[in-house]
Amino acid sequence: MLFDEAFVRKLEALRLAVRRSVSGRRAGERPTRKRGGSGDFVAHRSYAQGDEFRAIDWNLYGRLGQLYVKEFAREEALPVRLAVDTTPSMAPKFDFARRLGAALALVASQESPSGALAEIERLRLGAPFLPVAPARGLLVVVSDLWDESLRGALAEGRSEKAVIHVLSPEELAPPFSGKLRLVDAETGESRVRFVGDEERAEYRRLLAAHCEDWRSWCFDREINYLRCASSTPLEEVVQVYLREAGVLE
Amino acid sequence: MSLESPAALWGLASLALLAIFSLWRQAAGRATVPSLLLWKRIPERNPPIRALRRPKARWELLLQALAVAAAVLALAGPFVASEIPRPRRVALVLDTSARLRQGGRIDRIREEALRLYDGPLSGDRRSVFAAAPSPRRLDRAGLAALGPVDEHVDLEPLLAAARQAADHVLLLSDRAPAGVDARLFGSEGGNVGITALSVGGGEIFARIANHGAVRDVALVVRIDGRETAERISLPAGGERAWSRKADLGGAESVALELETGDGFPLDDRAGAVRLGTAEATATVTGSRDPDVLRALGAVEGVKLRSEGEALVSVGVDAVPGPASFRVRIHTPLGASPGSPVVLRHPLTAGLESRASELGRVGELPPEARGGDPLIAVGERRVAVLRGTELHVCVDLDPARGWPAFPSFPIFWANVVDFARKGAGEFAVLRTGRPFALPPGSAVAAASEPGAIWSLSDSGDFLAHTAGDYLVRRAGGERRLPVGLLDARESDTAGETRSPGWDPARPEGREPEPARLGGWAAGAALGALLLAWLLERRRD
Repeated sequence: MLFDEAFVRKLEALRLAVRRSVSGRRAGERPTRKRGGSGDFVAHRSYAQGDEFRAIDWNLYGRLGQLYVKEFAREEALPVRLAVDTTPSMAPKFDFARRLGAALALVASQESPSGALAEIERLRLGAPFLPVAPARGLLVVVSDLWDESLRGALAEGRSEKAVIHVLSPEELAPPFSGKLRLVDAETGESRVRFVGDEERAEYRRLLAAHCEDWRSWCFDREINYLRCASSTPLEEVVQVYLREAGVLE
Repeated sequence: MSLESPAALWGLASLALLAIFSLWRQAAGRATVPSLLLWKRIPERNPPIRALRRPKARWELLLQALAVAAAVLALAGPFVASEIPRPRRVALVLDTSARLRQGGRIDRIREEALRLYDGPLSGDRRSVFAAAPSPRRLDRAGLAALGPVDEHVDLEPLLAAARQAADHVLLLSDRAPAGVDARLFGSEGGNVGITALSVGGGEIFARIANHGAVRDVALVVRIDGRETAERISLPAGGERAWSRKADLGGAESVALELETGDGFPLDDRAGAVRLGTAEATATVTGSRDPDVLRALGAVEGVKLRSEGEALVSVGVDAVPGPASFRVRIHTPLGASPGSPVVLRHPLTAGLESRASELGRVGELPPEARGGDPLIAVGERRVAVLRGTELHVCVDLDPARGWPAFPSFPIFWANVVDFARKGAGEFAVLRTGRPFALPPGSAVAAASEPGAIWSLSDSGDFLAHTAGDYLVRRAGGERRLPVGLLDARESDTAGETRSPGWDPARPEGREPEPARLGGWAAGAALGALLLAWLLERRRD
């Protein structure tokens, strides 16, 4: 069990936020442009061959003498896809990212039970990470965003997307200094160099620019963007930051 | 613990150099970052001096410091004083020459060596060298069992080996080369002995040494057991030659014996023996060609026999019988074109210019071609001499020219003379001198127990003790006397002297400190190796 009972109850009170109406295969709580189902009345239209007889508004027929059928707004479940980065660079924050993904999966499963939670729990560091946006619905990506090719995957599709940029405290403020062999966790490439106060300050400046670049890139594409440190308590991230960012409501 | 060179400890200052050096070449620490993306954009710069890290208490650095400290310690020569006497390296060289038999000196030498070995030298590293019979190193048991040999022992190889094995060399003998410390066991002089003997050409010749005053001695001569005696006068401190004409044509052995009455009888006797037959006998096997029999019979003094051991045996297309010299005649299968050439040799004396009269000759069969060529046609060998065997490829058939070889009896006269000079001569064997036995003969045993003898790889017989030995050969066994005839052994006097160096004195046994420099150097190397391995592992 990833979460305690109290946290699960708090998660049950949340749901994923979307800006646009959604369309999915399952009936749910989300309003769609599709008509039908058993939702709220939307409008009348003229009867056409093939319409269900039970949809005919007999009262209107009595008043107007013409056949109209009632149209209702159809509520469908929100198709949600959660993608948690499993590349080696996630090593120091993978547990946090996985738990965050699980929390989101738990929230999503309230609308439409699916196997997402089980999939998140099965995730292992080093497994293939290929986020693909669903045709419609919501894609939530939890990643450290060191892989620039992610931009291509996020730019595809018409679905809504949210990016949760997770960084470890060591990435935010490198704790090392001196003559170092820096090894890239993703590629294994290494480089010997000196790291001092000046280098660390420059690194922090470049990291801030890097995050800002991602944030503005997401903003331009109407993608929710949230940056958080893996040291932040998960409950705080879920209850405060994700709601403020518009990922949850 | 003390140090031989305490000043070397200044070398410990190099530890500071090591620390500075380790600061300078600090190994890069390893840090895994999620991505090098941003780090690549940060310009690199040389680290400021103040940024150098304090050397960490790494195992490599510790081991390197340990290696330096141990090396410095090794250079300083650490040692621990000891009270245990240092063993000296002492070598005893024992002379076992034959002359030391006189007066039981060889036993006294052995007893003295044992006394030193078990007594004053017991705490030393002892080596014992002797030549009994060949130069060798003896252990305690070998020393106790050491006996004399009836030959002259050359001390130089023993002394050279002893000098290599020891710092102190003590010779036990009756005389010593210059510069050698020795315990000498002299004896009475005046020995008389035979120092040389030769028999042949109808004469017996001997040299007799006298190391005492002028005197007359009786000399007994035995030729095949027939004894005659005469008195001879010997000059003082010198040597005289003695000879006697004798008919030795049929004699098998000659012996001389001096009646000196001195204490060293070993050189009072000497003998000579024929190893081959004395008679000029010949046998023919295979085809008994009448021309061959006639030619052999025409040689003066030759007696033809039908079988048994002979001086010469001829095999006509057959293996010759037992003989001192064997001739095998091969009938040629075909004529060899070309003119035969006769090479100069005692066996072809008088035939060199008469090659054209050889008749039909051919090439020897392959198995008989080895040896010295005597007659050849071009590259083909017609006659070869191999040891005591002569192979000839000539046709004896009268219809094909054999009788046309008028000098044939001359050839057989050469063969008989050659055989007489070879196997028929008297042999004089001396102890310590190798002797080439005739082919087909071997030493079967010594007639006296305790005799020491050996055979070399080439079959030479070498006797180390005097006496009679039995030689087995085709014609039966023959008694072979071996006497001491080395002139150097006839002077038995020597001198008596104590060594200049007293093994009982403690000089050279000062306690030796236990030096620890080697251990320190080993520790330095070990620490260096470990440091290197650790550094490689970390990389």
